[in-house]
Amino acid sequence: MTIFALRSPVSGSAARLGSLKIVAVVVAVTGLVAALLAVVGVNPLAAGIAMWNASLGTPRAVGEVLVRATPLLLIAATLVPSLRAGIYNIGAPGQLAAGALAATLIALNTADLPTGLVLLFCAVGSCVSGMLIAFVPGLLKARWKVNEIISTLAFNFIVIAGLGYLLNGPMQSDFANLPQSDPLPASSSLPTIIPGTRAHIGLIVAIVAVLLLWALQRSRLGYRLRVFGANPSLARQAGVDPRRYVVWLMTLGGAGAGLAGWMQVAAVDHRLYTSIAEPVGYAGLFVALLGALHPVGIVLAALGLGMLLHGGESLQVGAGVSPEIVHVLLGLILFAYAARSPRGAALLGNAKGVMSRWSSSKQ
Amino acid sequence: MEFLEAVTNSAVRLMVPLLLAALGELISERAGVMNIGLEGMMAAGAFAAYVVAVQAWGVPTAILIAILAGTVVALLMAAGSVWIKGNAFLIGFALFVLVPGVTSFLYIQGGWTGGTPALPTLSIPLLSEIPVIGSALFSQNVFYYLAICLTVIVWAMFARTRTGLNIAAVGHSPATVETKGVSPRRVQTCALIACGALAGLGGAALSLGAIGSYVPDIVGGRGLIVIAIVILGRWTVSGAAAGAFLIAVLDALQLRVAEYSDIPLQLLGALPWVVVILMLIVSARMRSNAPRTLAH
Repeated sequence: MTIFALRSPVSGSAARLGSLKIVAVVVAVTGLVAALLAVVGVNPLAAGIAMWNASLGTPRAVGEVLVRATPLLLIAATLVPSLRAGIYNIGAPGQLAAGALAATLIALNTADLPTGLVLLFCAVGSCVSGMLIAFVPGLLKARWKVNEIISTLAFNFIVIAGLGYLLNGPMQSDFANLPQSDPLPASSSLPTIIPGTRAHIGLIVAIVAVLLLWALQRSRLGYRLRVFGANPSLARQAGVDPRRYVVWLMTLGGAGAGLAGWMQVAAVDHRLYTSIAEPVGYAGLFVALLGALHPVGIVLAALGLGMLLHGGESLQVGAGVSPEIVHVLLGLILFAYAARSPRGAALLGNAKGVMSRWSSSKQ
Repeated sequence: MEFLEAVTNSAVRLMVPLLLAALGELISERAGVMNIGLEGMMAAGAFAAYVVAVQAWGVPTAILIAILAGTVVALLMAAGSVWIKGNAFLIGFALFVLVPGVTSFLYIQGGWTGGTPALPTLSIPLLSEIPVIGSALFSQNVFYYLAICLTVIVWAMFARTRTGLNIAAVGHSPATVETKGVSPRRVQTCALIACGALAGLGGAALSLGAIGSYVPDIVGGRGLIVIAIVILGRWTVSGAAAGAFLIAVLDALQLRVAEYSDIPLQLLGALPWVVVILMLIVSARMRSNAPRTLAH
């Protein structure tokens, strides 16, 4: 987090005060979680050590962290443009589930095709279905001014309900009477890129997305987006059609989430479950916010949350702690972030503004 | 006729938690705070009431503790959005993730099991004998009667009292209110506390009254449905009550239709959400009396 303090445009003493504040927030969040663990009779220190070992102890563990960070990074990279424009697309879980569903259906029905073709079909199918699920709330907002926070959340529930129906009915595995699909054929699993780990080519896709985001910020389109976020009526006078921007920005977020769904099901789970989007969907949004809507920031935030997610999973095995603790951590982090972030969309449009808010004491 | 009676009966029962939470959200939105954290307040109330009831400390204690739990979450919301002036949407969303996470964590780690003691049904003599609607309207548990009283109180507060006027004025124009010597910050904090208390009570109505137990994810997005109800009800008490009843009828039909037809239960679970989206589209076309600071 100190990197934000170093980059911030405020004076030295204010920056020092700012980094002190960040340290205070980190201590407070850690303290609260430790207290919660102590309340239920778990040694917080042992849990912390277990988490550290599980996420950084061996090369394989580092690979697992990368596997967790990949979808987060991809979702965050595609959400940043819409967040800059002040649009809150909270629908990543639903869009991710739709992408995973499409990838599963394609993989199960194309087992005879060569791997390259299967991967291509899965990628395109998951991307398009994620985009479709995000397109509808975008259209509703552009056409009827329907609040996108509520409509995207509603779509999460609708998609998960549909998934629940399919996995309990037509798509249910013959193997067990559980809400899960058949295992995906080997031809659809993603090639790994680092020997000895499960890190897969999705990581390259995510990095490309981050590079595109970086390029976007320096382009004319990126400038327009910033104007749109800071002052929509000015942008309208400059010839930006707000309705079209809203629809496209929402759809873009759906594309990233859909691809993330494909990676989750084809590289991590290898079966479709109703819980596919937990807690990756919301965590992707957190990565975008915690990374201060900046390409470098989201890479760091994705690695951090990837460690947290993987560590949280291993806590269940290692220390007998329920994985719900990850939700608690995510909620606390977002609360700390939100309390420091400005009210409207206007200031969100400026990454420097957000960064200095993290580090400076001035409101 | 029996079908109709069964549906109205369970609809009224399912309406109570929604109505209580809707009254709370109505107060906080009229004061200009879009409270997405409502879900967290309901979850806190539902869990607190369940724990107290399982410890056999009695229903009145359970209700009081649930109200207190909802209020604590409301204070977090107030601290973040009113005092520190953070982004209210994100603070609410943080509570939406955080509080159900904490309650589910404590529930699983605490190893509580078993249902809560059944609440006695209070019947009003004679009136509860009316066919079809009698048992639905005059033979329910204590939460129903509390909800009816509170609905009347909240309506009277907005229609008849200076407090109600102040709350609505803060929602429309905090600066004007300040020149009259009323602190918008204090009014918004009090509105959020009232919202937390009502939502906590609604949570208790869910775990003790409607379900009779606690399960992780018990609120299941009802907090968001309530927000949509308040928006569609155009920020009026009667609108909120009508919206809560509509969603409750859908819920009740969902339970009954699955018994009589081949439509899968999981698909029916999506129905309230489809209605919520339709409600939002319709509400955008109606004349707006939205609190002006809630412009979104």
